[in-house]
Amino acid sequence: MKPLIAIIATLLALAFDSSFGGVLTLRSVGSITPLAMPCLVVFIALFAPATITLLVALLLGALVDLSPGHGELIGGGHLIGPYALGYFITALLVLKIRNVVFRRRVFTIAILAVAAVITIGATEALVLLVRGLMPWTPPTEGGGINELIKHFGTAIYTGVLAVPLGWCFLATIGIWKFHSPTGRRATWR
Amino acid sequence: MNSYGKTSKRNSVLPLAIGITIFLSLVPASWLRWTSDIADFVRVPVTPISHVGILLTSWVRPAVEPSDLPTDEQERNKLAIAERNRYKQLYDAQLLRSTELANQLRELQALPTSALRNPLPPIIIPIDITGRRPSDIAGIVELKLARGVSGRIRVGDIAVVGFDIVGRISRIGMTRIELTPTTHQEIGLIRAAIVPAHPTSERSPLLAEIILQSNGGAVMLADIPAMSGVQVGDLVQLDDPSWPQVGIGFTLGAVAQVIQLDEAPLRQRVVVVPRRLARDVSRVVVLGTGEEQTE
Repeated sequence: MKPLIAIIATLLALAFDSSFGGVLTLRSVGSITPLAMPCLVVFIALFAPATITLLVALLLGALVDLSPGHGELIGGGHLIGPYALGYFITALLVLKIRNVVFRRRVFTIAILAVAAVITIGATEALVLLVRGLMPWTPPTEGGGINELIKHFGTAIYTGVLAVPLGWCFLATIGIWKFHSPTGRRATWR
Repeated sequence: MNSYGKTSKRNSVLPLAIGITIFLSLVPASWLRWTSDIADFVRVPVTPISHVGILLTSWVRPAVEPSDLPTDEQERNKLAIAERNRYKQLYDAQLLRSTELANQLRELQALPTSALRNPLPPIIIPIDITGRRPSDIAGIVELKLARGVSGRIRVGDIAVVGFDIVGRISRIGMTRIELTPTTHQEIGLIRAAIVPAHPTSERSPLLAEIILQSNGGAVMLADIPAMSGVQVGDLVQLDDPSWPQVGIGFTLGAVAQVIQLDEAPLRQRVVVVPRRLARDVSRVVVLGTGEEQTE
């Protein structure tokens, strides 16, 4: 995988999630906004070598944790972990199933993006719950059925966004310079 | 070329990276203050693109104007003229009064006139928004740190849009500023006053004094006496001495709902919704109280 292309895509995805995404926000139904970063992680996990995928997913998740509005702590710090581990587990799941899916289909990226958002949300909730059990941390509050519905809405909306994004990714797959493990691109169905 | 060594090194880095991440996700918040500096650096390449995105978002989906403001241009001009005349009268009266008091004071203390004026008037600084989480109404908002601004702004300064307060400065970093919206839970309790949106002789100019608390979402809540006569649409204005003095009288929001409390028949709960949100605009105005002057 070409690092420069991955860096540019990361910058665009981070910028989309912290600004451009506002254009698509459904303000009347709880400010549901699609996310670009899960689409990018799914795409990388479908085609990049396993170890690189996991490291990149961890790094991208940490960058999301450092973004405005994510993992805010009292005193201005950011909690690194909820998204980093969420993206890591997402990448792990995609790696497990990527040999049995049609990777070069936009529909595959869309479905996996929906699953990715749900996985990331579940991991984030788990990390915050475990953190809340620590004696030095106040118990985690919030959540509830409204948050759950909103999260599923975000997942579906991200799946919709993944259709044009996935098309863009697949159209530019040549410049990413992925190499299949066997050296034969024909194995990428 | 054999890549076995490289892969093996990567494989050993991975458990270490995961272990560090899990450790960081569990440590106390006070140990993670350094992450704000890391975030400052990480956001440097993203900020210009994100800034363009915010401007584009505001252009494509502009903020909805509050419904209680007049929309007709003629009516608005008439209102502006009436307000200008009223404020001019008030200004003239205050000027006479201040001159009178200044004269008295000068006689008493033999001070020059310049010493009687406020040495630190608020500095009005328009600042662009460069990042936010669109799905979180109460989420922290990232502001651009322009050259010469940091010395004029302090943590705790108020950010406004028009006459409405949208938040307070919570952090001034090396490359950006963080704004905490008024509906964020970290803002805490706010002392405020409810006044009629359209003053009339039948209604008291001050309806109730309240303590506002955010619900962590899009609204703030407060309890009022049942006989206070607060109605939906009335304005909630800041009246908190712990906030900067320059913000007193600015609007925090409008009353969206008045709920009778079953458990306390003599009290009601008001739901206050901010009229303007930092989420919906591309630029806010910070009322700076820093001492450093512009070049």
